[in-house]
Amino acid sequence: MKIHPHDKVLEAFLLSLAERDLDLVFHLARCSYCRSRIYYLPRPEETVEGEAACGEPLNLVQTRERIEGWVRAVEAERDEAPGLFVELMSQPVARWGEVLGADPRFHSWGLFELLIERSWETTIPDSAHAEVLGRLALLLGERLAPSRYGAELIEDLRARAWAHVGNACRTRSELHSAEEAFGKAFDHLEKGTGDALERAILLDLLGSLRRDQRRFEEAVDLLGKAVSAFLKIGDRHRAGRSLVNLSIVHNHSGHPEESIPVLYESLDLIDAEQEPRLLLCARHNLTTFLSEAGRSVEARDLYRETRPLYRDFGEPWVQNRRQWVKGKIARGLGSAARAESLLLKAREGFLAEGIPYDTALVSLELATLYAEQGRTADLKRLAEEIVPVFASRNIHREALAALAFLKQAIEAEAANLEVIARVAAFLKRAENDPELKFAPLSVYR
Amino acid sequence: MVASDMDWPRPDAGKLLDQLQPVLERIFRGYGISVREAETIVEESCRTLVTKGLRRQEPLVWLLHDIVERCERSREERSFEDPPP
Repeated sequence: MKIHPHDKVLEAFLLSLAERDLDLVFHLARCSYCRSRIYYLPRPEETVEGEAACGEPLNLVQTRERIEGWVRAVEAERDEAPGLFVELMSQPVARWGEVLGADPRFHSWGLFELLIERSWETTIPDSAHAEVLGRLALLLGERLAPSRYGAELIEDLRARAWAHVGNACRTRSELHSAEEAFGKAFDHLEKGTGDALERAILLDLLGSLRRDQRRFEEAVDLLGKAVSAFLKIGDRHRAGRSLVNLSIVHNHSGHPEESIPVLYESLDLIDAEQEPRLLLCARHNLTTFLSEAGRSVEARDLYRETRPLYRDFGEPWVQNRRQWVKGKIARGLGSAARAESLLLKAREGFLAEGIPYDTALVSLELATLYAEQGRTADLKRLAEEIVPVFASRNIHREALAALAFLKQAIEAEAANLEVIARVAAFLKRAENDPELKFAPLSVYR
Repeated sequence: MVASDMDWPRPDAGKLLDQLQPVLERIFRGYGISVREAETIVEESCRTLVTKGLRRQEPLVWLLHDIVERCERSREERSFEDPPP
C-alpha cells in the first residue's frame, strides 16, 4: 500500500478483527521492535544470497573493517585506563581536576568509562567519593574530542555520569541535588545515541529517587517503563532488578502485599550467576512479605529453597535477617518457643551490629509474642531494655517517642496486642518516612 | 547497572552482523533505507555496542532493536520532510 488508508478503510479493517488480533494490532502500533519483525516474518525457506537493500547489495565489508579498527583503538585505551586511574588517584585530592584537565594523556575513553564505573561501585561504601569520581568523569567528558569518539557517545556517558552523581546524592538524602543531577542526566541523554539500555538504566535510577522523595506513583510508573524497556532489548536480569526496586516502592508506600506478585515475577528474571546477592535479596524479601501476610507455609517452603544461598553470604547483616525471617515463619506456624529463640538470636545480632532500628522492630515482634502468652514480666523486662538502647543512638525522634509510649503502656499493664501492633506498624512506616508523626491517641483507636 | 560491567566479555560485532545480515536486508528494504544510509546505521549501532562498556545480556537483540529504532527515526525524518497527500 503506497498511500495512507482512508478512515473508513481503516475502521472496516479494525472492526473485522477478532479481539485477540486487535490487541496484536495495538501492540504493533506501540512496539517498533515488533513492527520491524514484520519485515522478515514469516521467514523464507531459503535466503537469497547477496539480496539487495533497495535493489542494491548491502556490502558490510568496509563497515566491518572500520568497526574492527575502532574496537582495537578502544581496547588499547581500556588497557591503559587502570594505570592512568592509579596515577590520578596518587595525586592530592585537591589537584585531581587540575591534573586531569591539563594532561592530554588522561583524555581517553578508557579512563572516562573507568571513572564512571568506579563512581558506581563506590556509591554504597562511600557516596561522597562516588560523587567526586562522577564529577571527575564529567570534567573529562568535556575534554574528549567529539571528532574522535563521537559527540552522541560522549553525551550518553555524560548522562550516566550525572545519573551516578544524582544517585550518590540520593543515598545521602540530598534529594534536591539529586533532582538537579538527574535533570542534567536526561538533558544529555536526549543528545545521545538513543541507546535503549542507557535510557532504561536512567529510568530505574530515577525511580529510586522518586521512591525516596515519596512520589510513589511516579516511581511505579518509571520502574514499570524501565522493566518494559529492559525486556524489549532482552535484558531480563536488569528487568528483574527493576522489579525488586518496584517491590520496595510498594512496601515503602504501605502496600507490602503488592510486592508479593512483583517479587515472584522477578525470580524468573534474575540471573543468579550474574548477581547472586540480588537473588537472595528478592527471595528474602518475598519470604518476609509472605510470612507477614500470613502465608507461612509458602514462606517456609521458599525459605527452604533459599537456604543454600543464605549459606553463601555469611556476613552478620544477612545472617541476622535470616534468623529474623525464620522467627516470623515459626511464629506464623504456631511454634512460639522456636519463634522466641530465633527472634532473640536476631535481636542479639542486631544489637551486636549496632543497628537500633531493626533491634526495635524485632523487639516488638518479641513483645507481641509475650503479650499473646500473657507474659507480663517478660514484656516489662523487654520494655526496660528497649528505650535506653535507642536513646543512646541516632534514631528518629518520633520512633523514640513511640517506643517510650509503649514502655509506659507496658509498665501500666495497658499494652494489649493491638497497642503493640500499632506501635510496630508505626515504626515500620517511619523507617522510610522520617516526616511521619507519632500520635499516641491513634494507637488506642 | 549491574556489578562488574567492565569485566564482561565484549560482544563480537562481526559475528553479530553475520547472524543479522539476512534480516537486516529485509528491514532496510521495508523501511526504504538506501544502501549508503543502511551502512551508516549499521556502523553507528555497532560503534555504540562496542564502545560502551555496558554489559548487555542479549547483544544481538539490542543490536537489532537499535538498528530498527534508527530506521524508525530516519523514516520519521523523511515523512516530516515529505508529508503524505
